[in-house]
Amino acid sequence: MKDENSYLPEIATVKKIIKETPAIVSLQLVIDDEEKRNDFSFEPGQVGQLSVFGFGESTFVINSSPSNKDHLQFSIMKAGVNTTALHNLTEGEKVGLRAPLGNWFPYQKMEGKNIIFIGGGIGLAPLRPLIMYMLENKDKYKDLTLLAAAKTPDDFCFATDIETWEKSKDMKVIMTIDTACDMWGKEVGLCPNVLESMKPSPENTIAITCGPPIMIKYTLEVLLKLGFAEDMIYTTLERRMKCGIGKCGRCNIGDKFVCVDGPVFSLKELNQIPEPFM
Amino acid sequence: MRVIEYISKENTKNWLEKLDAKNDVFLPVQDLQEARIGFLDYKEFKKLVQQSKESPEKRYVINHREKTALSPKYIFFPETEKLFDFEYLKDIENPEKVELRLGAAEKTESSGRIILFGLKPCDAEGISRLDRVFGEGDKKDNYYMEKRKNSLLISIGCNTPFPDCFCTLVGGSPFNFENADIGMVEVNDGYAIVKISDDAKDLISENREYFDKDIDKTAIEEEIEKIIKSSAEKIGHTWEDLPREEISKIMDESIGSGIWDQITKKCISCGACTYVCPTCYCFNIRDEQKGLQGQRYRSWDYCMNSYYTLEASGHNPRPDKSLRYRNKVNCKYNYNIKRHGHIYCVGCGRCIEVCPVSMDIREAVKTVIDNRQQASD
Repeated sequence: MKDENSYLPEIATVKKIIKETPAIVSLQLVIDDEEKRNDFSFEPGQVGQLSVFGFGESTFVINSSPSNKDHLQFSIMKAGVNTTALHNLTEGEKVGLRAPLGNWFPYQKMEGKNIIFIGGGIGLAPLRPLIMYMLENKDKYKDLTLLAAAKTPDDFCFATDIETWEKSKDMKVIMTIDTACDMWGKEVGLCPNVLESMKPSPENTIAITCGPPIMIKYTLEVLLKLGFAEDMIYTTLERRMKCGIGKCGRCNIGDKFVCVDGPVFSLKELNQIPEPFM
Repeated sequence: MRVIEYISKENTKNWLEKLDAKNDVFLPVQDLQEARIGFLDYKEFKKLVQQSKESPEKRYVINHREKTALSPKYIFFPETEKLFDFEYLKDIENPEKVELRLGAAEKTESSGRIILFGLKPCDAEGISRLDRVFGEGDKKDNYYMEKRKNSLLISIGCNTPFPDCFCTLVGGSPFNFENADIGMVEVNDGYAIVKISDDAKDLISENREYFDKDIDKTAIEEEIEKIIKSSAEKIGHTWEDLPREEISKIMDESIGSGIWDQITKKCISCGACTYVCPTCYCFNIRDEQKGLQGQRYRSWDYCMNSYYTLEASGHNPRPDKSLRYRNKVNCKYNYNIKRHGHIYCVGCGRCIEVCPVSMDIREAVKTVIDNRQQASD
């Protein structure tokens, strides 16, 4: 019966809570049912629905590495009713989980290419499992570059990861903040502007970006200006979602549903949808 | 139209009575005092009739000739439906420890089928549209499908369509029984049965005594032809041909144009049109909790509401009502053609009837088409 019901979540336990920024926490979850836990697998970019029963259910990307069998990680920015309830959880408490949902980054098609990741704020979350996958399979990919942007130095999500990646020889990391401040020895400027000054070559390179809508909008413009082809640019979108299985209607962009046809789209796919996605 | 069976009106009552004994029969019932009309459980209807004997000012009758205020979609897709219960269980010995228990909504105990009697061909078509939404894709909607797979639709053709009916414009007809299990046409003092699906055969074979043996099929068929002709004359089109093959493309091209601002001007975003629509299927999901127990519900929602797409961050991809109305019309005349291969409007005309500011979806679509023609002239 449980398997037939697409709306009934699995119960999962919060194993660990990581305070990422003043507004963002990461929850590491473990599915209670042993069989379901062992059978669980997902692809980088797929999402899950988290419930705090009594408050609601919302969609977040699974941002742990697909090879990580210990837990599933989700990062949540405090914004509304359910995200506040998720922030108020303590370790050991239970949540509902429906996952994995949606499509994923076509990482196999990206083999043999340079990849540039452009993540703003919590927009780094959907890129994280892909970055981790590609670092674990570095021999399949050429140069990896990450441009991570945040409002202030305190607003970087996954600071420990970024630090590790910075030290790794497998990925070049550039960090930028919106406005200058003391004790910041790195880039200053809005993400699209920094990207433009970096002048990454579009030659055999795929660009993958996620961030607030306004950042995505201008980043896509810059990428096109730099000569990236529409099918070499990927983004992952957010919409208000409820059912997560293409029934309830609300996450549509034209005839596509972000929950089942997305959340990952190439710019080429997005430009074929008549309704503007921004 | 070939006549297979004939049943008199008197016997139809007996037949329904018999069907109701083993199944859940729903039929269009009119409250004569308030003039309201809606699909009702036959058992409920009989109760009302019984009560009305005590208070004669209240009268209830079966009326399949008029449109029900709401489409019968709510029989399979209720306005509000419980998805499951949840409960937090506290351990008194160890208050820190809280267990969570989930339970799927219990199925209603009924061995019989759901039979919709007297629904209009457009409403049967509406249900077939919902079948595609809830039954297609990797993940099915089992709440809808459970009810639907165990159901039969008995459709009665429309001898007298209403001025706001436009089924023929969107590819239907007042006698389209494609989506019905049993198709009936009202003739003289009874009903001619012109379609019986395999699933519905037993409804007739087990009740043979109600169906007339000696009927002059040719005479009834001639009568039906006359009825179909007179019905077609009554269909109230404001314009003739919808370019059904091209409509999706025409809609696509309209999306960037300012025409939608003009079309939407009057709209007050009340959502009444979506509430009565047989093909609107959007829903919201919410939790209700009291103490340690609660339920998760889903309920109908509408894309004309500004909260519909409003994200927790404050970002709203469709902040203006013209974008929302554009989405609504395109959902029906464009996006669902691409997703499910059909126009998601069956021409029942309910949205036109209920709109408090006299918006007319036919006019909206026509304006888009005319605007394109003008642009190319």
